[in-house]
Amino acid sequence: MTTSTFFGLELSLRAMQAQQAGLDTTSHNVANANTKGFSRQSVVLEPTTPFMLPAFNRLQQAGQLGTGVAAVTIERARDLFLDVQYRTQDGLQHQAQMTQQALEQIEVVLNEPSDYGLSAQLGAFFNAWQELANDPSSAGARGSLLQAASALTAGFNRAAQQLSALQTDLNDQVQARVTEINDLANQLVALNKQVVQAESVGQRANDFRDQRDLALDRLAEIVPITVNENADGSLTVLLGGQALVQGNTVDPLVTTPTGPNGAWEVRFASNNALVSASAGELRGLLDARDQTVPSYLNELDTIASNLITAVNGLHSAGYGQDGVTGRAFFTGTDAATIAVDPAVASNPQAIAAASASNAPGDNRTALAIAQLRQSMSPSPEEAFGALIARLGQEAKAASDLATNQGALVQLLDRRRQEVSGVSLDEEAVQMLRYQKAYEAAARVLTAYDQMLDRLINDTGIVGR
Amino acid sequence: MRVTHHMIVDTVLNNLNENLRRLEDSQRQLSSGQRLNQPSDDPPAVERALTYRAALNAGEQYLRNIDAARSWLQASDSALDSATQALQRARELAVQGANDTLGPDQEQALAAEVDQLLAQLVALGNSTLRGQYLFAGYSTQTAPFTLNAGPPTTVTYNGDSGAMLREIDVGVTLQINAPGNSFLPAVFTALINLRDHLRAGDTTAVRNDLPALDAATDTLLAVRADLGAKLNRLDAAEAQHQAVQVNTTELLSKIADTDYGEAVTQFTTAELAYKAGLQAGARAMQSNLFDYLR
Repeated sequence: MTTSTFFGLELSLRAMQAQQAGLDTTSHNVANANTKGFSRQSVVLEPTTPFMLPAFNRLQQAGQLGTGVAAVTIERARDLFLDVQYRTQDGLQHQAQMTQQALEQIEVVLNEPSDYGLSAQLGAFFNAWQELANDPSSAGARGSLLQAASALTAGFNRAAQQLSALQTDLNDQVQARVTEINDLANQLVALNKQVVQAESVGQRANDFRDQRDLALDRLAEIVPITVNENADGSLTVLLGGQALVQGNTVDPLVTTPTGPNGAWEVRFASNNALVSASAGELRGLLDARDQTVPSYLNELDTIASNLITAVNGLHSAGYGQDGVTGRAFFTGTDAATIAVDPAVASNPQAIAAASASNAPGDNRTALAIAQLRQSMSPSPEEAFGALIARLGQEAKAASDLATNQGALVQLLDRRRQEVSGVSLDEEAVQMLRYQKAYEAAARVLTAYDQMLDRLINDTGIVGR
Repeated sequence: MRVTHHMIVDTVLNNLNENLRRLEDSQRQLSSGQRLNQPSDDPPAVERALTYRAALNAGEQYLRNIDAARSWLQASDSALDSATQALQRARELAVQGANDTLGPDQEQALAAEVDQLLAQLVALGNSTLRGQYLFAGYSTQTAPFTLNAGPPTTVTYNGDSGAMLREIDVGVTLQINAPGNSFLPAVFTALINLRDHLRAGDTTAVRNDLPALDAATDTLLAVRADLGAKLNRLDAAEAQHQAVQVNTTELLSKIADTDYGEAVTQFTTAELAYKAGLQAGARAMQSNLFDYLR
């Protein structure tokens, strides 16, 4: 008993096909060496089922006759456990980045230490009162005081306005992130369908899975997610215990203007439940918007309002050069609204330096206001210094956290790369290996060809 | 461990980035001369820097306050110096006038000179500094003394007894003015009496005027001594502020200014690391097995 005449041809063909599949996969890997989220793939080669030769007597045959090779499947190199670790830490990293960026911007707004920040303006304001106390009837000293005071109020106004603008910007970013979450959720649903479709016919949807993992990587940067794979290969993505994506369906997020001062709140569309994001960019943005920025704004407001109350208390008891008493120096109640009273700003004589009427040499009110620099507890400069110190500490802590967390994320990413990354050296070796095996299979084919040539063309020609 | 070319590229990029950041940081310190640019650079140092800056700023103001106070005190002292001299001349005239041997013409001549001295003293009482009356209390825009010819001759005070205070250190104030009503009326009265007694040729009364003139001189000298003591206090306060300013400037410079030795070292190290990173990165990224396959 023997194999069929053309058995060898078939075997060689299968070998060449299998090696070609290997070479194609290598080519695919090399092509995607720089593709984000790509996991290197490898062909699983398996020997095809050997012939159980139907024989009159088994002993005539040494054993099972191999039938060659087949490319059974193509696998991707991926460690799903590393993905979970990476996404958790990357979410914390992005949260830290959001906090750090917000604090950095507050640092820029407050611009300290510098010769033009609020602390310098507070100093100039009190010094201008000292100068007026030195020469209470001087028009020049009054003019300088008005200049210093309006520079100070402008400084407060600008800081308050820029902090509010930062808050608005953070609020816009919250909405942008929600849009992005919904986009990613829709992408995941589309990819779920493609994976299920491909794998239902027994293929491995490596590239779709890579794309899906890439979308999950980004989603996990924004909000903390729990990912479960269903039996059909589709994913369920939980956000704070509620399903954002379940197989083919999305429960999109919506923003409602129900937060403090009409700020956006993030909710599930289906049941209006508030999304609880414990980490990620969204948490960072919400914290910065609702806690960090307001806390600095409130402190500035307190400093401004204490200054307004103290200065006005003394000023309204004092007398202007025109003998009039009872005038406020500042209007407004907080950092955003503080301003020099227009009645004073337009009439330097209305500045009350004196504690009695018609006493041009009387500087008692001016001196008392100048002495607020030390007599207030805490003084505006101390309070502002404390604010800056807290800002510095928080910004440094946030920056350190972001740096450390960044290093951890880098490390985990390297570990993912170790598993999934394409090594060109490896691929070069694989290329050689498949190329040589292909060449060898072709060579075997040539041997069969020659055998058949001899059999067909050179035998049975007696008497021709 | 499996290393891919992508990992090498990432590592090279990350390290280059970090090296470049260090290079930029030391370069910025070197070019700006400032070690502290934002609160997070060194939070405790920034807080101290703000305190030092405020202290320097307040200290400069106290020095300006001291200058202003000094010019007022010196102007007052110089006016009272002239007043003392005028009063001494009046005493000399009183001693001459107390002599029984003088004739009536001579007595009248003495009286006329005393009258001049009186006018001079009233004018000194109305001395000004930059348009402000020195001895008028708070009423710096009104001449404090008016001489009414009479008879009887009187000098009225149009000012008040307001005390002009200047802050020369935290919470430390100094009265820089001497309101004229506290010491000049006695001077004027003594002179008016002397002049009238000389005119009347009453040598006994003239003789009896001497104690009043001496008392007036003593009062003036006491006021001048007070002004002098205050000038001394200003000098002391100024010296102290200047010393504190120097110290504070040094402290501020230590925490806020670039330490050039350190910054240059940092810069050189960062530059070396950056260049080495560039070289190594360029070579590591260049080759792979494909280069050697034929």
